[in-house]
Amino acid sequence: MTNNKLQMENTKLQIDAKGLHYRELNERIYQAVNNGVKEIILDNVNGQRYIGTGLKGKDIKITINGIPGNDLAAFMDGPRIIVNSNAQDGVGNTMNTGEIIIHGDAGDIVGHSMRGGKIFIKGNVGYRVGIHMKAYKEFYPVIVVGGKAYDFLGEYMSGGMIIVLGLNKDKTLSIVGNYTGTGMHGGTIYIRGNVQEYQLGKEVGLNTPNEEEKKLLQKYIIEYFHFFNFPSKKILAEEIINSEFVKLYPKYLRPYGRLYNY
Amino acid sequence: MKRIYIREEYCMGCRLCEIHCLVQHSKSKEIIKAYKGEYPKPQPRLVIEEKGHLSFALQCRHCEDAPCIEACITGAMHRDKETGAILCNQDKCVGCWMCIMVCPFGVILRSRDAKKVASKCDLCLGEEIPVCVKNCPNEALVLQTEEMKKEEKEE
Amino acid sequence: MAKPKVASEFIVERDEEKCITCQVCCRMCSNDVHTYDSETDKVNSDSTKCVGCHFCETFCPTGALIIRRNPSELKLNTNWTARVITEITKQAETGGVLLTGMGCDKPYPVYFDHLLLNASQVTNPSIDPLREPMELRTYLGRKPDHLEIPNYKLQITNELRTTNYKLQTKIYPQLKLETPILFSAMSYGSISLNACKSLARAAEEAGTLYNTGEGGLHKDLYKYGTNTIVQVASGRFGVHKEYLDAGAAIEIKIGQGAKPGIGGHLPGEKVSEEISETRMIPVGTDALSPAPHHDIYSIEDLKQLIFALKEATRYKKPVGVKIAAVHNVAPIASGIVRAGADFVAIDGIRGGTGAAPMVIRDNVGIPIELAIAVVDQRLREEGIRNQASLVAGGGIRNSADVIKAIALGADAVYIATAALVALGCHLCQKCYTGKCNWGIATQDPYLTKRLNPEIGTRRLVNLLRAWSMEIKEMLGGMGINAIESLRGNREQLRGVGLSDSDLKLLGIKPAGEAW
Repeated sequence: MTNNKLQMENTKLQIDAKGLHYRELNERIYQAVNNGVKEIILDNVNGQRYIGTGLKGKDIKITINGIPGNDLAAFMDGPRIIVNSNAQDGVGNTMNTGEIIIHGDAGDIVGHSMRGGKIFIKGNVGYRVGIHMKAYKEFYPVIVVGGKAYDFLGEYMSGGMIIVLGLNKDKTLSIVGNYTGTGMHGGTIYIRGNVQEYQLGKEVGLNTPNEEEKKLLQKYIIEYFHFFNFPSKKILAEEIINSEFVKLYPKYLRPYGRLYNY
Repeated sequence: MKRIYIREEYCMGCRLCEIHCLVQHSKSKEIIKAYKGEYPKPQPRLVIEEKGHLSFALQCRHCEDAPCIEACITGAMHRDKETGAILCNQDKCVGCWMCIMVCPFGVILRSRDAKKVASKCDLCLGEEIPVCVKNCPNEALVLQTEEMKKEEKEE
Repeated sequence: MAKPKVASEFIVERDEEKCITCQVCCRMCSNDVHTYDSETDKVNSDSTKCVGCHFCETFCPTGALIIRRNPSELKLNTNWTARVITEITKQAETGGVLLTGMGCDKPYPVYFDHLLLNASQVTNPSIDPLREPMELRTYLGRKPDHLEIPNYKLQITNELRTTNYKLQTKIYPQLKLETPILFSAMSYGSISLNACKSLARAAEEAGTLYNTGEGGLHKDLYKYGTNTIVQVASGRFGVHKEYLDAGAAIEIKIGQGAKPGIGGHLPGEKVSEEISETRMIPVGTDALSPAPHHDIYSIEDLKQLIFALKEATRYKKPVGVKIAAVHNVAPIASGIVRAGADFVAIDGIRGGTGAAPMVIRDNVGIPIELAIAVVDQRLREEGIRNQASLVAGGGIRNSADVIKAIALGADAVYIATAALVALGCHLCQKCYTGKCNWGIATQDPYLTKRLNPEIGTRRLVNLLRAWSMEIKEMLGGMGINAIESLRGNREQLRGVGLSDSDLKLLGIKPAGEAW
C-alpha cells in the first residue's frame, strides 16, 4: 500500500496522522500490528483518542510525535509507546502490561486500574493518578513521575508502586496534593522529600524505605533517567538517588472493616 | 450388572445415604420405627470417609476378583448370578471375619448383634435403584447399569 | 445499664417424636444452630443463630423441623415496627452501617401485580403454541435507522421463485437470544464458582447469555465466552484484553438497582485465594468498587469509555451500559443512547445484591415497571428508540412479569434473584456473611460443594424452559405469534387499582376501558 501518507520499510511503518479521525488512525495501527509490523511512527498527532487501545503483542514500539488524546494505551497489553510531547487524561487506563514513556506532562487518572507494566512521565501529572492500581504475583505496575502530582494520588491502591521525584520542585511547595493514598489497602508510594500528615488519607502510614526498598527505588530511578534527558544528567541522577524518600503504605488490610455491621 | 460410582467433589457429608441404607436394611423399613423402635439397631452397609472438607460414601465394590470370596471358609460369600453382586449367606456364615480382614476397601463390617458378618452392601436387592443413590441430594453417588455402560461405549 | 438484646428472628421447632437424632441438621448448618448432646442423646437448637435459610428443614429425613418466625411479640405499633426497633438496637450496640443482602423487601407497590394482560376473543383469533410456530427469538443491539436494498431482481422460473438481493446498510453487531430472558450480573466472589458454572452452562444450553458481574471471569469459564456478557465495573476487577475478547458483549456498570449511587463491597471474609487471583487484590482484604468510575465524570466521559472499549474490541461486539432506575432515568437513558451504547440495562429498586447497606437498598431507586415505561416512551419521542436495546431487571419473578416488562417497552429482561431461588436460595438475606448453606453466596469449600453444577444447570434450564412455554401460551392467547409484536405494545396491558398519574406514567389504560 503506497500513497503519500504512508511509508513502509521492512517491519516499520510511518503514518502522518494529520487530519485523520481516531477511528481510521487506530484501524491502520491495528492492521499494521496484525500484519507483523513491529515499529510504528505517528507524525502530526493532534488529540486523536484511544491510540494503542487494546493493542496486544510483544516487541512492538509506537512513537508519537504530537499530543495524543485521551485514553492513550487503554487496556493495552504489551507494546511500548513513546510520546515526544505532553499527553492528556487516562494514559494507561486499565493497562495490563507494556511501557509508556512520556517526554512531557500528563493529565488526570494516569494508570487508572493499572494491572502491570510501567509508565514513566518526565514532568507533572494531574489528579487521581494511579487510582485503584492492582498487583498479583508477577503482574506489578509501576508509575514514576518526574515532577509533581495533585490530589488523590494512589486512591484505593491495592498493589503496585508509585514514585514521585519532584525534580522541578520549588522547595516551599509540596510535590503531592491532598488526600494522598486515601483508601489504600495494598501497594506502596514513594515520595522524595517530605509530606505533611494532613496531606495523607486516614488509612495511610508514613515511614522511610529500608535497604531493600532503597535498592528497588534506585533501579526505577536509573531507568527513569535512562529515558529522559536533563542538563548534567549524571550529577542530577546521583543527587536524586541519594535523596531522602518517604514511604506511604496501607496501615490496615481492611481499612473499612469496622465500618460495616455484620 | 449395577455399579455405584462415587463423585467425591459433590459429597456434602450429610450422611443421608447412611440413614437410608440403615432404613432399607431394617425390619420395619420405616425411618422412625427403624431408629427408635428396633432393637438391636439396624446397621448401615456403607462407610463414610471424611478428611477436612473432602468426604464420600464407600460401599462394597462387588469386585470381579473378590478377595472375600476367596477367603471365606464356608462359602457363605458368593456372587449372585443375576445381579452379579457379592452376598453373604447368613446361614452359612460362622463369623470368622476373614473376609473383613482381606477386604482392601474395609467396607465389610462386623454385625453388632450376633458375632457374624452382617454389614455389606447388597445393591439393595429387589430395588430398582439402590437407596443411597436415590436419596443422595447432590448426586454424588451415581448408578451405572448395563444399558448405561453400553450407551457410553457407543458414544 | 441493662442492655437490650436483639431478639432472634426465627425459632426452630423440633418435633421430638419425629426426631431420630440422625444429626444431619448438626452437620449441615453453617451457623452452628443445631448441636448433639451425647449425654442426653438429644439434638439441641440455638435459635438465636438461625437465619431462616431452611436448609435443615429441607434435609431433615423425617420432617421433624419447622422454622418459624419468632412469635415473641411487641405491642402493635404501625410506626415503630419490630424491625425498626431491632435496627436501632443493633446500631446502638455496634455503631456500624447495617448490611443486608438480596433485594428490597419493603411494601412499596409492586406494579406488576397491578397490570393485567389481554386475550383474544372472537376477533384476532388466538394462536396455539403447541401446534403453530411461535417466535421468542430476540436480537439485542443497535438497529439501523432504515434499510437500503438496491436494485433487487426477482427471478421467476417454472419451478422456483428466487429473490436475489444484497443489503446495503451495514448492520451493527447483535446478540442473539433464543428467549428474551438473560441472567443478570452476579460477580464471582459474591457467588461461588459452582453457581457461576451453573449459570454459564444453563445460558449455553438455553441459548441465552449470562453476565460475569464485576468480579472478572474465572479461567474455567472462558469456554462459555460466546454466552457471556463481560462487565466493566468501577473497580475494573479482572479487566484485560482476553477478558474483553472472551465475551459476546461488554457491559459498563454505572449502577445497580439495589444500591444506586454507591459502589460495590465484597467483605474480606469472602476474598479467598481464588478470588484474590481473579480480582488481583490481597487475600482477606475488602474488594471495593468506588461509586463513580473515576474516569467517568460526565456523559462525554461515558461516551469516551464506550468508544475506548469499542476500539479495544475493534467494534465487533455490542457495548452497553447498566444503570439503576432513579428519578431521572429517562433523560439519563437518552443521554446514554446518544453516547453510543448498543444496549441500556436498567435495574429497578427490587434488584438484588450480595451486600449493601440496608438503608440504601430499601430507600433509593424506583420500581422497574415505571422506569421501563418512561424510558421507552422518552426514546420513542426522541426518535432514537432503535439505537439501543432496553433490558429490564429488578424483581422479575415469573413469566407474567417478563411479558409485562416487554409490553411496557423492554427488549429483554434480566433475572438474578429468580435464578438463585431456582438453585435453592430461600432469601434469608445473609449473603454478606459468606455462610450460605446452599453453597451459592459463599467461597467456603465445605459449603460450595453443596451446589452441584450439573443439578444447578438442569434447574436453571428447566426454569427458562418453563417460563418460555408460559410466555408462548400468553402470547398465543393474545393472538400474537412473535415476541417482537409485544414490545412496547401498551395496548395489551390494563391497570387495576392504580392512580391516574400511575396510569399516565405507565402509558396504559385502566381495566375496563377498550381501545
